[in-house]
Amino acid sequence: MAERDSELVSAINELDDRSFLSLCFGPSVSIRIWLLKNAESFQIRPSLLLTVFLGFTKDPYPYVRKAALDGLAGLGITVVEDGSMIECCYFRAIELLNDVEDCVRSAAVRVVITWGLMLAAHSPERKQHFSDEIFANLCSMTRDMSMEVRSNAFVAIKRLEIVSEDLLLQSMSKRVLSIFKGKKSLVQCYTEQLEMLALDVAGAFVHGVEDEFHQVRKSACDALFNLIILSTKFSGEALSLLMDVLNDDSVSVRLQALETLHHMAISNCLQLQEAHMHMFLSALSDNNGHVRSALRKLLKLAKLPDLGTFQLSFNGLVESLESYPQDESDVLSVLFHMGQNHVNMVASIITDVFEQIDPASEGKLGFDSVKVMAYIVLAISAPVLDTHSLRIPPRIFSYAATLLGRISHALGDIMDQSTIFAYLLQNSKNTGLSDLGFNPEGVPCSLTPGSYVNDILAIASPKTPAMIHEKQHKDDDAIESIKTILSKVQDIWPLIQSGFLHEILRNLRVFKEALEVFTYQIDKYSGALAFTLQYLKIMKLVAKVWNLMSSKHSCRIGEWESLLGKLEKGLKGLRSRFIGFSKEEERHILELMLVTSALRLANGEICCHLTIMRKLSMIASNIEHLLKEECIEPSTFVCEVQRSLSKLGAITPKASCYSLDFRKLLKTFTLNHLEISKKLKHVKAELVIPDNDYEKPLYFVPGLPVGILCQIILHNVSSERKLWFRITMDNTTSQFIFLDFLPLGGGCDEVREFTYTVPFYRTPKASSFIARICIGLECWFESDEVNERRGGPKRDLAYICKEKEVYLSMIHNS
Amino acid sequence: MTIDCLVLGAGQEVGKSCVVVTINGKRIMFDCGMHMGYLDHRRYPDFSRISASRDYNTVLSCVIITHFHLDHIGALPYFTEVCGYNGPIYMTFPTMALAPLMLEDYRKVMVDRRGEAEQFSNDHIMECMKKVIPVDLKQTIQVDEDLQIRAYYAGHVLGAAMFYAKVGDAAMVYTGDYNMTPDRHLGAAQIDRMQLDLLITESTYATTIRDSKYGREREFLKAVHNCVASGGKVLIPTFALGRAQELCILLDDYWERMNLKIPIYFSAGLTVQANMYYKMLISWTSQKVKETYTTRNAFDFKNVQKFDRSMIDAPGPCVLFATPGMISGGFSLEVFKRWAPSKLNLITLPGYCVAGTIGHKLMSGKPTKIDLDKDTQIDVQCQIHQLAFSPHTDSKGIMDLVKFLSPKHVILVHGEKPKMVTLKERIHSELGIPCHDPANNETVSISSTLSIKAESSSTFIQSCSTPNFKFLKRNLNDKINSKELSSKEGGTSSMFTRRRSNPHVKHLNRNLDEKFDSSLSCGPELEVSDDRVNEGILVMEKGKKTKVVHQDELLLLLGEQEHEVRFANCSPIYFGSLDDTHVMDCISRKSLWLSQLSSKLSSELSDRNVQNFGEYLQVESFTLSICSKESCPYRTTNRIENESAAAFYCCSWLVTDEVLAWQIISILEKHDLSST
Repeated sequence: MAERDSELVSAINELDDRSFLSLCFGPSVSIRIWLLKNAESFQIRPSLLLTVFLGFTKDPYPYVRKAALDGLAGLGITVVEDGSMIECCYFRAIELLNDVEDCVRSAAVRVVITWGLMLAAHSPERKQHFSDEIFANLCSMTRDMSMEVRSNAFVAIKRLEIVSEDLLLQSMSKRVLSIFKGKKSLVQCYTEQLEMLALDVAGAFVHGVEDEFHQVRKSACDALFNLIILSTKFSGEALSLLMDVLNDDSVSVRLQALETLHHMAISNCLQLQEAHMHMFLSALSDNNGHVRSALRKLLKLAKLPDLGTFQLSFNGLVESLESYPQDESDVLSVLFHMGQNHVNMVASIITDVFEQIDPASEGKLGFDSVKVMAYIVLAISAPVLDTHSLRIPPRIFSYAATLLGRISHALGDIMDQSTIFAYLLQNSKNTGLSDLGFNPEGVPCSLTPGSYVNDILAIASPKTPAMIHEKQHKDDDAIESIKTILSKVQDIWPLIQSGFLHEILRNLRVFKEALEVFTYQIDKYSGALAFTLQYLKIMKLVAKVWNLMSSKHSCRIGEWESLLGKLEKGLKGLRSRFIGFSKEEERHILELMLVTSALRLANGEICCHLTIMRKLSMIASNIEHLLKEECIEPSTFVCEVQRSLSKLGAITPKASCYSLDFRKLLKTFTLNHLEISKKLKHVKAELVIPDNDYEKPLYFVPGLPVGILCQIILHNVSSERKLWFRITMDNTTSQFIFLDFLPLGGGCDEVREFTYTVPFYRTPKASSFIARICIGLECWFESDEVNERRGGPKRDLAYICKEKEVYLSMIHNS
Repeated sequence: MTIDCLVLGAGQEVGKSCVVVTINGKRIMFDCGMHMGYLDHRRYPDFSRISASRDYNTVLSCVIITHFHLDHIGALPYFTEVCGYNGPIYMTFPTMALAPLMLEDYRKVMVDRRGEAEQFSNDHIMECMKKVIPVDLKQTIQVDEDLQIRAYYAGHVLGAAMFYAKVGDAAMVYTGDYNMTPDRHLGAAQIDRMQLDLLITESTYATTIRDSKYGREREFLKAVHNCVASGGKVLIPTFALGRAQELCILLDDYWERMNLKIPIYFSAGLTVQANMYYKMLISWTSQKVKETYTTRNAFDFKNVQKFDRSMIDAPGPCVLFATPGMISGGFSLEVFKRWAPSKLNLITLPGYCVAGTIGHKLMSGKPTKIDLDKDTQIDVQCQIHQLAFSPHTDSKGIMDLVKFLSPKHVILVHGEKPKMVTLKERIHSELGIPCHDPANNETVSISSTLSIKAESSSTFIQSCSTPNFKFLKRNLNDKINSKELSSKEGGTSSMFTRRRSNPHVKHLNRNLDEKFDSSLSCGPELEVSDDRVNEGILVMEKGKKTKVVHQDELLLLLGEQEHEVRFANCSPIYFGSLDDTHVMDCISRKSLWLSQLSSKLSSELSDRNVQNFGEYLQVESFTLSICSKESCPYRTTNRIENESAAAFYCCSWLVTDEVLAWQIISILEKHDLSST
C-alpha cells in the first residue's frame, strides 16, 4: 500500500505502540490488514502484538482474521510464559478451524499446531493428552474441501512428536476400530467422546494418500515421517499404505513415499512382507531414474524377512538391470549391501546356484550374463563381515577378479579397487588361482595373444602384500609398473600393423586395469600414472583408426571422423594437461600428433586439407626445432614427412596434396619406446556443486542470470594459464565464463582451493532443467586463429574435470 | 417460513430421481429421472402431485438436472414435451452435450429393440434440449429476482454437479450423485462451506465403507500385468463413458511407468466420440489431467491403438476394451467367445451386472460352461477378475460432507431403505443434525431461516466498524458452565452473527473435567470476545420500521432512565436467644444483628470488601438488610419459630454477582449465629 512512498515508509518505521494501536483500531479494514501483515517490521512489544493478534481473530472480516492468525503463527517462536495466554490462543485457533473461509481455516491449522505444541510443552504432565487432541483436530481437517487446508493439516501433523497408538491406528482405517467402541476404561475420555474422536481421526491417512492433489498426497506421505517410529503396529499399517503409493501417478509423491520408507528403514521399523514385494519391487522397473535410485537406496538398508523375499528382491534387481543397464554400478552396490545384511541367505542361494554359474561345470547360465554377475557380487559380499565364507566356494572370488573393474566401480563408496583386489585374492587363496591358469609367481612372459592374464598378475599380484604395507613401496611399485607397461606398449605396435585389433584392445585393457589398482594409493607419481592411463587410451584410439584405415571397405566415414576427433582431442589433452615433460616426451607426443594429421590426410579429405597441411608442417617444424636442440637424428617417419613437405614447397590452396601418398608415408612410422619422467604433474580440477540435487535445486527467475556456487580445487594450474567454465544445457547451447582464479588466492600453483560463484546467463523459460558444468583449460600451443568464439575462449579447451550436473528450478511466487 | 420438500422419486429407492423443493415460496425441481426397472406408469415420477391443474409453468421456477444418467434425466423430454413444461432448465455444459446422446440411445433401445410405444420422439429430445440453459461451475445464476442457484463439482461422471439454491436467507444444497474420493480421470466433489438450512444427499452406499482405491487399482494392475506377462489376452468389457476412460488412464500410466510394450486396444465403435468429449471438457476432469494437459492430454492415450476385427485371433498378449460392459451382446460378446476357452486369458467384469447377462452368470460362481443359446455353448477356462470401482461416495464420504456443510436438516434420497435408516440414525446421533428419509410422494417440511429488513442507527454502524474486543478472565471456581456463557453471549445476536452451531465440541476436555479433574480448564481460562455486533438491540414497534440501535442509544430512544434488573431473596435467619438485649428496641436490635452479620461475612469472604452502611450491608452489588415487613414478596418461607431470636433478611443483587450472592446466602443458611 505505502511501499512505494519512501517518506511514508520511513514514517511508518517510526510507528510506536500507541499509533500502531490507534491505526489498528481505526475503521479502515485495509489499513488494519496491512498493519497486521507487516506488524513484525515495527518495533512493537511482543506482548502487545500477541494481544492485538489474538483480539483480531474475532474480527468479522475474514482477511483480518487470517492476518491475525498468520501473525500468531509467526509469533510462536518467541517464548510466551503465560500459560493462560497460550491456552487462549490455542482454543481460539481451534474454534477458527470451523471458519467459513478457506484461508482462515488454513491459517488456523498453522496456529493450532504451533500453539498446541507450545501448550503441550508448557504443561509436560498433560503433553500426551494435548498431543492427542491436536492430532484429532488436525485429522478432522484432512477432510476439508480446500486443498490448501488439507495440505497444511498434514504438514502440521508431521510436527507432532507423540500420539497415542490407538489414535494412530484409527487414522489408518476408515472404519471406527473396535478399541473405540464401548470401551470405558480409558482414563482420559468418556466413551462417546472417544468415539467422536475416532470419527474425526478415522482414515485420515487413507484419505490423504488418495487425495486428488499431489501436494496433499505428498504431504500426507511426509506426515508419516515422525509418527512411524511411535508404534510398530502403526508402522506396519503405514508400510502397506506407502507400498500402494508407489503406484501413484506423480513422481514427487512416489519419491516422498520412498523417502518416508527410507526413514522407516533407518529407524529400524521397516518390516517388509512377501505381500508387499510385488508393489515394492515394481518400483525397480519404474521409468523414472530417481524413483529407481531411491528404491535401491532403500534396499541397501532393508531387512528382508525370509529367503523368499530375498530371492524376489534379487530377481527384481536383475530384471531392473536388464532393462536399465545404466544402473549397473548402483545395482551391484545394492546387491553387495544386501548380501552383507543377509549373510545366511546369500550362502544358501549361492550354494543352490553355484552349479549353474560355474563355467567349469558348464552351467546353463552363460558366464557373461547379467544374472551371473549379480550372483557373483552377491557371493563375494557375504564374508566381508564374518567367516561364513567357508560356505561360498572360493572359486567365485577368482571369477570376481575378472570383473574387477565393474565391481570396483560399483563399490567405490565402500572401498577402493586395490582393497577389493586384495580381498578377492585373499578369499580365493583356498583354491589357488592356478585353477584358472593364474600363476602368482609367474615371470612376465613375452606378449603373445592369450598370455595377457599372466601379465596382469606379473605386474600387480606379487605386489599385493606390499600394498598393505608402506607407502614408499607403493610409490616405487607404481612407477615400476608404469615403466613395465610403457615398454610393453611398444611391443603392441607390430600387432597394430598386422591388424590384430581384438588382441590389442584386450592387452590395453589389461594394462589399464593393472594400473588402476594404484589409483587411490599413490600421490608421488600420480601425474605419471594419469599420463600413462591417458596414453593407453590414445593407443587404443590409434589402434582402432589404423585398423579402420587398413580395412577393405571404407564406407564408415562417420566412425573414422569421430575416432580421429577423439584422438586429436586426447592428444591435445595429453599435451596441455601435464607439465614437466622432458624433450623426449614432448617429441613423442608431437610425433603422434603428426601421425594423426597424416591419418586425416591419408583418407583423402578434401574439405579442409589446407588447414591440416598447415598444421602438419607446423608440427613438423616444431619437431625439427626440438631435434636441433637435442642434436638427435630424426626418425624415419619424420624424415619422410619433412622430405615430402619440402618437395611440395609452399602450402597454397593450389598446391595439391594428392601428389603425396600419405598411406605410404604412414607405413614408415614405428612406435618408439617412451621413457617416462617421474616429475610429470597432472593439471586437474575438482569441482563440487554443494547442496544441490534434484530435491534441492537452485532457484532462478527465467531470463535473469543465476549464480551457481562452486567449490573448486585446482591442481598444478600455474598462474598464467587461462581457465573457462563451460555450461551446457540440453547438449545444444554452451556458455563460456572466464574463471579468473588469481585474485581468489587459495593456495599455490600446486593446489588452489576456493569457492566461486559462476553466473549462468540466459536462463530458459522452463520450470526446471539440468545444466552441465565443467572447467576447461585453454591450450597454450594452438595458434590464435584456430578458434574464434565471441566472448569465449580464443583457443581450444582441454577439460580438466568431470562434468557436473546442476539442478535448477524456476522460482514460484508462493 | 418453511422449506417443503416433495420427493417424487428416489425416495427410499434407487431410480427416477426427482425432488421438488419449495423454498420461501419458490418451487424448484431437482432432477427428472426415470426408473429403469419399471415399464408402466411407475417409470416416471408422478408429476401431477406438483400441480393438480398440471400448470407446471406457473408453479415451477425452474428444473435443475445434476448429470446425464438416465435415472436423473430420463423423464425430462416427457415432462417438457408431453406434460408441457416450458420454463427454464439448468444443467452443466457437459451434461447438456452428453444428455441428448444418452436419451436418444435409450429411446432407440426402447422403441427399436423392444418394440414399445415411444414415450417421446427424437424431435422431443431436440425440442427439450433447446430449453436448456447451461451453467458453469461456481457460476451464480439469478433465476429470478429472489432465486439464486450455483453449481459445484460433484465427481461421479463427467459434468456431474451439486446444486446450491438460495431464496432470501433460506439456502439448500441438492447433491445429485457424487464421489468424495477422486479417481484417475475425475476429481472429488468440491463445495464451499455455507450456511444451509437443508441438504438433500444421495445415499447409495449408506452403510458401506470402502477401502483405499489403491488396493483396487493394485489388484487390477497385478491381474492384468500377470496375464500379459505370461502371454495372455485381457478383455475389459466396459460402458463407453466413464469407467473405460478411468481404466484406460490407469493402464496407460502403468504401461508408461513400467515401460511395457504390449498393445492396448479400443474396439472401434467405443469411446472415439466419448474420448473426444473428454478431451474437450478438460476442465471437468481430475486435477492431474488438468495439470498435465498443457503438455499432453491424458485422453490421448500413448499406448492405445484401434482394434481391428481381424486381430481377435492374432497371437501374442494384448489388452482390449470393448462394449457393452455386461457382455450382453455386441463386440464384447464376440471377443469373449473366442478368448474365454484359453486359460491364459483374463476377463474383467464390472462391479454390477444385470441378471441374465453373461457378465452376471460369470459373477455368480465360477462356471466352466456357459450356454449362449440352445445351440452354442462356450467353454470358459479363462481367469476372471471382478472390478470394484464405483463412482458413488461411501458412507464415510456422506458423513464427511454432511459434517463439513453442517446444515440444519438433512434429507436422504437415492438409497435402500434399511441402510438409509442406519445412516439417518448416525447423522442424528453423531452430528446432532435432524435427518429425514421420506418415501416417494411424501413431503417433508422444515423451518427455514427468515430474514427481516431492519434499519440501523449510525451509532450502531459506527460501533460495528470499529474493533472492540475484550478479554474475559474466567474465574475457574465459578460454577458457571461454559455452555451457559456462550448461550448468554449469543442470545441477542443470533439474528445477525453467522454463528455456526457446531455440534462437535472441538475441545474434548470441556465435558471431561466435570467428572475428573476440575482444575483442568473448562475451555481456556482467558477468552477473547468482540461484542461489537452483540451490542446491537433490535427494536420493533407497532407501526414503525424495525430498527437496530446500539445499546447505549436505547434509553434515549425509549426516553427512560437507566434501570437495572435485580434479583432478590428473603429468608429467615436465627440469631439465638438474646436475653440481655431483650429490652432493646427494634432498631438497635437490627443494627446489632447487621454488625454481627458483617463481621461474619468479612471473615468468610476475606477477598471481598464487606461494607456496613448501618441500614444495610453491601458486597459488590449485593445488598442485605433486615426485613421487617409482614409479607415480603421475595420471602421463601413465612414461618419463624422464635420471633425474638430470628428475623428475615432481605437481599438483592445484580445478575453479574449471582454467584457471589448464592455463596453468601449459603453461608448464612449454614451458619447458625446463635451458636456464636
